[in-house]
Amino acid sequence: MNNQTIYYAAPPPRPASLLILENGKAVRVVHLHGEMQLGRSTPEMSQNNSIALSSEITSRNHGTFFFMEHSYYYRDNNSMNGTFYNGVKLPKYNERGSKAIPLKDGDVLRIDRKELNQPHPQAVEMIFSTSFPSEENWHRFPLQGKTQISIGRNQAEGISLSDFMVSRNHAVLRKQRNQWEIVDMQSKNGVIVNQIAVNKRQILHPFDVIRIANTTLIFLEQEIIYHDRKANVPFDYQQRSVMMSVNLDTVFASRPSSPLKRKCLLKDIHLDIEAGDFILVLGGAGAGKSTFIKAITGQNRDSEQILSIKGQIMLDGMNLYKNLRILKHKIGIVPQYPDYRFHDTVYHTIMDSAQIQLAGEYSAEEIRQRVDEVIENMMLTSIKDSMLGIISGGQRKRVQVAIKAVGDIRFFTYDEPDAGLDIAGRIDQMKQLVTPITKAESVDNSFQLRPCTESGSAGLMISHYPDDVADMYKKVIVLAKSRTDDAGHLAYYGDVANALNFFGVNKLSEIVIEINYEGGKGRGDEFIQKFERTRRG
Amino acid sequence: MANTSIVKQIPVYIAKNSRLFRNQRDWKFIVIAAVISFLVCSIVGENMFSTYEATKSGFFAIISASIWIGVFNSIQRICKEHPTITAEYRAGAHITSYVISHILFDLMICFVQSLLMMIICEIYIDFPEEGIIFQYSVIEYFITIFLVIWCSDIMGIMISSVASTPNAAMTAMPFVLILQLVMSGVLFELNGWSEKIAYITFSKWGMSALGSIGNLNNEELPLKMSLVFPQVVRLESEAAYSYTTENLLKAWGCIALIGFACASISIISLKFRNRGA
Repeated sequence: MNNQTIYYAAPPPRPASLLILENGKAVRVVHLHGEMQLGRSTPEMSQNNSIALSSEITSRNHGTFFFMEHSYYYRDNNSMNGTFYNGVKLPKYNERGSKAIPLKDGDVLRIDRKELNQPHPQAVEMIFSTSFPSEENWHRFPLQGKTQISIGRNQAEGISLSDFMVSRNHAVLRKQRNQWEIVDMQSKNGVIVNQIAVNKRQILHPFDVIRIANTTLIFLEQEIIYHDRKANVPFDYQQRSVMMSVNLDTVFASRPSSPLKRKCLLKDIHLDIEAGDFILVLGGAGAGKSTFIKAITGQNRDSEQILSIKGQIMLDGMNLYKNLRILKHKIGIVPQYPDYRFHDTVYHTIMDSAQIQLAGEYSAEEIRQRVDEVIENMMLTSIKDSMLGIISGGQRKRVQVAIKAVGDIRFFTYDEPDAGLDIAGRIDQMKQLVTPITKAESVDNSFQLRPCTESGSAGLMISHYPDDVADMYKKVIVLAKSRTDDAGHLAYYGDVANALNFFGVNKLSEIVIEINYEGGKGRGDEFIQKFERTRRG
Repeated sequence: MANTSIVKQIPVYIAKNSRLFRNQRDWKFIVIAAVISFLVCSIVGENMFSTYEATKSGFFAIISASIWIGVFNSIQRICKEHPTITAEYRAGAHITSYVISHILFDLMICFVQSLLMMIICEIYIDFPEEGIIFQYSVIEYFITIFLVIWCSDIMGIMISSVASTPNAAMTAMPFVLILQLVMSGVLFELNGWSEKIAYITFSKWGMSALGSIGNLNNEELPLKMSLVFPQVVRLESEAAYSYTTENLLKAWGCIALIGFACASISIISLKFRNRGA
């Protein structure tokens, strides 16, 4: 898969972390950045580029992590006791050490005796992740002597989580016949084990990664370790993780009345979207912009069209289409012409949405606070008692965003929210719509999330006026229709400045002229191929 | 918890329906119901219970008006909200909660409409005092009218759920009303397939209920011709108008059952429409 963002400079290492479990020690999260040595703690070890372990069975120069060609790798440096990779010992390859193995989200590295049949008391386990939260706020919960543990929000006993999207009585861990299982107590946001939603209950195995709303829990034989997200923790833009991974090989469309008559609308769309990204989607007529949005938001079927998707969309490390029941609640779609009940007030519309999304899980006071917070963040306070029928179109679109934001929306899509507005209105509109995703700080130009989305959100926008607020977009996706197969292809994915260089234009709107066959310069295929070459290096 | 959510969402939607009822001035439906009741009762009331034909025609007019009032209450309600329902469904709304909330809220409106209709009927029609089940027949007339209006309202919800647009729903409305009127068995004698279709109409069972309460089979209720030719008498009584508790309960039960079927179809069709959302 070639999902990387295109940069003309050397690509920076993607955010990744290593969760380190040493016996008797607190759980540690180490952020990987470039090349880092793993070894037993010694005075000579450099602070910045070393991962120091206290375990005595670790060699001084045990292994090396490094970033190359868009992936992290690990190499065992011919250490005394070696390293197990997902339960298999890495064999010696040459005098430097083992072969370097590419690391994937959830891979487990273990330092132990030479054989795994009798675990060493000072064994070390390390879990590699590109999706674990960055804060080092991990807890251990011992399982010895227990047979049932409840997991929920603000629980007096059991595992208590602060995440707003965790239900009060979300799940139960139960030991039966020497095996632990997790039972979903029909929670609103469900329980996901190893990327698949749990249907009522599931047996757990060591190192199973459990996701409950935005909280990650890792099941180990003797304990559960979990990350409890506290409210109002500032979002660290530098430590952001991949939120959505799009790998669309093909997307075919057919009409419900004639499902066998299919047309390929999109081909070879591979890209990663990170938390905090606000991405512009550009493309000529028929390039598949709307189809792309539908495909990545789980809208593969409506009354006019059925999409057949080959490939997969991963949202927060979970397969979108396999977990659509749960994940669709995390996607907020803001249509071009939203429909409303015009005779209801702004406040009641948002409050009802909050009650629909949160009913049964939260107290009336919690819901009211949430609604007030979103109304304030979306700058709707002055019109909250107005009927939707009398406020402006732009304000209605902000209401549309607000009714999504009261829930746990991770990913927003906006379809031409600036249509029909003058230049001042468009700029104002865009600034307010982007509120749930990022907030530009004037001091150091870093980005911080609003409290309602402390876990980090991302947004994708189709706009025909891209230059109005070009500086607000973090990245640009350009889709172009190819003449060879009549399908939309990725002609560019990367930052805005490089997009202008790539297409040799001065303004984003000129990109569409370059790639369009009808009324443009017809260079779509040229840029599709150029992008493919660039991506393959 | 999932079932709890369905229950918890119902009051949210009922409160919303209540606000929209006020803000959209939907109270006009209650005024319209009162006007229709006045027109019908003032015209048919004078001759009711004087002859068999006049009484039967009067009941038919009352049932037709009740069906019209019920269907008109709700026929445009759902179809104009389809995109909103899809967005809410995607956010976690339950279609079942949504439909039930409409049915429960409309119960209140239909109750008021039935009450108004009954009061107006009482003014213009001299109902026999004694009922079949209750001491006073007006209670039974009220229950019948209320059931027909409410279940017709649910049928309106069903049509509105199936129709894509308000235009499509309004186009379907005359066909549904004509079907109801024709299948009542008052205007035409029903045989074969038409008789079978009549079993799923409110008009047939509504007429059956009113005919029972009004005791249309009573020989003391003369035919119009009998007034001129006293020797002309009715030879057979009609089973549908049998003056028995069983017959009345059966008619009420069938009306409720058809209403329940309409509610189920409404939920299923909305779920089907939003299956890809």
